[in-house]
Amino acid sequence: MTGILMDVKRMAVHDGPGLRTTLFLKGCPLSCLWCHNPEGQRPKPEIGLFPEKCIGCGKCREVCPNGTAGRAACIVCGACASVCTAGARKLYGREITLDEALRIALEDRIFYGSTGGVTLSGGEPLMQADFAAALLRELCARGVHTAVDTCGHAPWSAFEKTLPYCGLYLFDVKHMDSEKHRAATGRGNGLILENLARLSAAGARIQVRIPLIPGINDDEENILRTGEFLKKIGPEKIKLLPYHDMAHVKYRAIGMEDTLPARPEDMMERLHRSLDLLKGMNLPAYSDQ
Amino acid sequence: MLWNRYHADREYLDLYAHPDFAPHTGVIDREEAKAAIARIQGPSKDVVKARACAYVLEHCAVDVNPKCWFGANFAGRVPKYKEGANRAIEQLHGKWLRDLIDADPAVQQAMEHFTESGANAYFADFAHWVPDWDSVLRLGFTGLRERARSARAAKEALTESQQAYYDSVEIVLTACIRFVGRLADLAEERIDRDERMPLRVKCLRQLEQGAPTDIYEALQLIYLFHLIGQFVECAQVRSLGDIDRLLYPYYLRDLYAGTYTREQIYELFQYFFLLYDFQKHAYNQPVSVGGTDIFGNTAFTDLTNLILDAYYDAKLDNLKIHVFVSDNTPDAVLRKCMDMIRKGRGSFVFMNTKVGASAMSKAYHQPVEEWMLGSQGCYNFNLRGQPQHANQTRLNLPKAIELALFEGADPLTGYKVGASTPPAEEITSFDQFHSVFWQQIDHLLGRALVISDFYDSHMAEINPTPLMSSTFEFSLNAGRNCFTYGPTSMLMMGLGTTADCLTMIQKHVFEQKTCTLTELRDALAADWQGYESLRQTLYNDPEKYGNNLDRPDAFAVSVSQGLIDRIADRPNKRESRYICHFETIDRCFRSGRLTGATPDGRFARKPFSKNLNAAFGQDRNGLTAMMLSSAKLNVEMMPMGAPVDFMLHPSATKGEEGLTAMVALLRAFLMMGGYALQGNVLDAEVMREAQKHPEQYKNLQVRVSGWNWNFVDMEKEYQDLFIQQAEACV
Repeated sequence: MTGILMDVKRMAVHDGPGLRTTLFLKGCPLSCLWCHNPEGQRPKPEIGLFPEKCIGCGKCREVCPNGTAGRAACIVCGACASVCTAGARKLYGREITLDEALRIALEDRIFYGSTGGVTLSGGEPLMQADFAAALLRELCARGVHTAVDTCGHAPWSAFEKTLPYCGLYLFDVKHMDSEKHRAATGRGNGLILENLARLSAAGARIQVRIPLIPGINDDEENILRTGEFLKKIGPEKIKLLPYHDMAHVKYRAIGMEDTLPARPEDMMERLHRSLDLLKGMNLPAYSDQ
Repeated sequence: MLWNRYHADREYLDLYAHPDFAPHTGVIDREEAKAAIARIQGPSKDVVKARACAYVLEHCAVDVNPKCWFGANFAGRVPKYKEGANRAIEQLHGKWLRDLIDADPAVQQAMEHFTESGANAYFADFAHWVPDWDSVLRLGFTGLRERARSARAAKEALTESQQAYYDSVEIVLTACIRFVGRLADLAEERIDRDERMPLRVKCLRQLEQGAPTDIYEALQLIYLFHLIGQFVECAQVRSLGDIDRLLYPYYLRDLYAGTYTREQIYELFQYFFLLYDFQKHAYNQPVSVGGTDIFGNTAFTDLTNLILDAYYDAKLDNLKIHVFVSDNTPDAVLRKCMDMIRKGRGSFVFMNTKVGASAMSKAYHQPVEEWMLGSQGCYNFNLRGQPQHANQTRLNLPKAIELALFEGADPLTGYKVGASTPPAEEITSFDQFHSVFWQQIDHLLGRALVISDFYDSHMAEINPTPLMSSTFEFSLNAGRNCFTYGPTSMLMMGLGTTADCLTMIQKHVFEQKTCTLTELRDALAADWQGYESLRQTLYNDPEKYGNNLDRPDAFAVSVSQGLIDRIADRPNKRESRYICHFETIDRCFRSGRLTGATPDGRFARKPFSKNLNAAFGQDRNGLTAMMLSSAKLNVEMMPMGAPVDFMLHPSATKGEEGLTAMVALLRAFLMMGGYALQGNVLDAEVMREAQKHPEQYKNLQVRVSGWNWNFVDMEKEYQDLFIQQAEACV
């Protein structure tokens, strides 16, 4: 069994409890306007280009099986990225076996202690549900705590596969109005909210994460509606994540239209306003900002 | 008002900024003092040294600062203490050292061009000495003198050198007692200057007559002993001791007796610590806390908490705290320390007592338990009250790579400091190169051993230290200076860079044939001018030590083990044995400036790897990988130090999650058998450096809403944003 791995983050501090390793699986069903990992959206590997770093050594052309045929003919073999010592070419995503993923996930095991572990993120890890479930199962079998960071937009069957082996879901809630959700992410919120309710009913441990996007989902009405909904779900924690607009360079690198909204100067005030609203509803909301 | 004055008094506590020597108490002009010291004669070096110290203690004018609980000084001591009256004492040492070198052709030969070429930095190590604080506090100056007299009386016959030793101890301790008496006299004269002066007089009178009876007197004695030991006797008092253990009995007694309240003791510590801030030691004055007691229980107490809180609240820059950590150290204490680090106000070194005990038992060839450990130096263990280790020479390992490529001649200076080995053209295999590298190491070690033996043989002649010696029973019983005993550690610098160089040569010269050894040598000689593409290939090759990768880590293991095998257990000249340790302090910069370009893509004169860390900018797999790499090394055979540094950005340590993660990192490091860990949560200044030199900070991480970014990959305006945030949280 293989999966497409986009990146690995060691010593992840904020992707679940304790010290963790986060494996980012490639591919996402949503295309959020504010996405800070745009290289995680497309399911297949791709090459990111950073021309400002190029030193013109020509090694990429030497190893390219298509010679100088250009981006259109690229078969994403990654040969150019592997010889680019200047970092002007980067391969986003590669096929990985379960064994290799497991080896990577266990490399830092000694740091996990009793609270840390491994988090699968993305992209959307449940787009590779069989691979994710198999990896989680292997980790559980070795006594390693597991978490899945999900946008929630996946067939229930995908959640079902991971449910027995996932210690904590980090579940994104973005907007309570389905049409506005669709406008901002490309999909409605029906399946997402349904999955969240079903997960809760199934007894899963859930931490809800709300990325606060100014002017899109941080209005009082949406925050209050979100709070009302979450009261019925009963997540362990609700974490508010302030928006940042630092991914411009990555949009350019993969040739994707840059949709990042501007970050307002009063971002932190907005965050604390939303935080106060949720806390006022006796919800376990917090932010580490 | 007697209490709650620390922040108001603070600006008046710098003795250097506000000297107030009483002219009638003695000589103020330091040139006059220097001249007087230079005229001192005696039957032996011990006695001359003791009389020189006594001159300062008995004849230089004194100062007692009414704004402070502890501040006291002698005229002639200035911030750069080498310019002070005590400089005359150091000049004595210098003359005695020169005479000894002049009489020893072998050491002259070993020293020739050794430092200028950057191959080795050597000097007699008077910089890492810690008295037996238990004796000091239990006995005071008067009790130390009585004990010395008893030790002398117990001897049936004295040799000439023993007689000189005991005479010198008697002279210095008598002078110390008189010095304290003079301070008490002046405090009495100044009794109306502050409400605290009657208490200061009482404290100083007690220390003139005996041992301390409460925590205030105990702290005053530690201050005075450090003042005299470091600035008069001229042997660095390198730790103020495991202060929470030493002072806990006084603390409890004072609380129960009502002598001082907890709040008052808290304030006393603030004044005490601040005095070391003004001394501005480049090494940060260390003091240690924690560890375990003799029963194996944690030694962290309420006093430890008080000390840590007072340290934080005192707003200090300089003092460094060694935190002795064992399995049963409470998480709460570690969280407190880590919290201070992330707030940018806390200089801590976390030291693993389990590894420390095992390592020290190998250095001292005796069973050692965790409770016996003390600290000495920047981040080193010692054994409390036992002969202490000295570090006379510091070997530049990357220099051996250079010498192997340049036939034993240093390419920057042209000095032939290495062995004659074949030119690069004649080295046709990696095995051959590896063998040449070890030939160079052996040559450098041979010279370093001659120098080290020389210093070991003569330490007590160059700088006799009667005061320091008088605290050690082993010294008193033998009638010999404390410098004449103890292990000698040879410091090894640049292990990570060396492992990287070997990896790159094996991989790119002999396996992938990216270049020939001759081309590589020429590129290094040209400091990569005209070879930038080759340099980028080597520098950016990710197969470097510190990333938990097999080959470079294996080289780091084999190089360090090879050195251990060559050095460890070799007899030294201080009735003990050699050992080695691996750290650089700031010598990765200083010796780096004397080191040419290296095969890992490093430019000439740039820093090489620091401590057990990866070379700058080469730890691309993060801190956990760095720790895993260092854990492969045999640190128990590096008893005198094997520290790892961590660097984290403030945004990666935020919130409870960040704090939990910092403690988890430390626990894992200790579980893996790490020796010492010290860390930074990076500040704005470092990030500005990262902007200027992004290649050295590839691993600097910034967390942005659930994602960690490499700082140097961010656009400049966002880097500036983080710099602003870092400034805001100071």
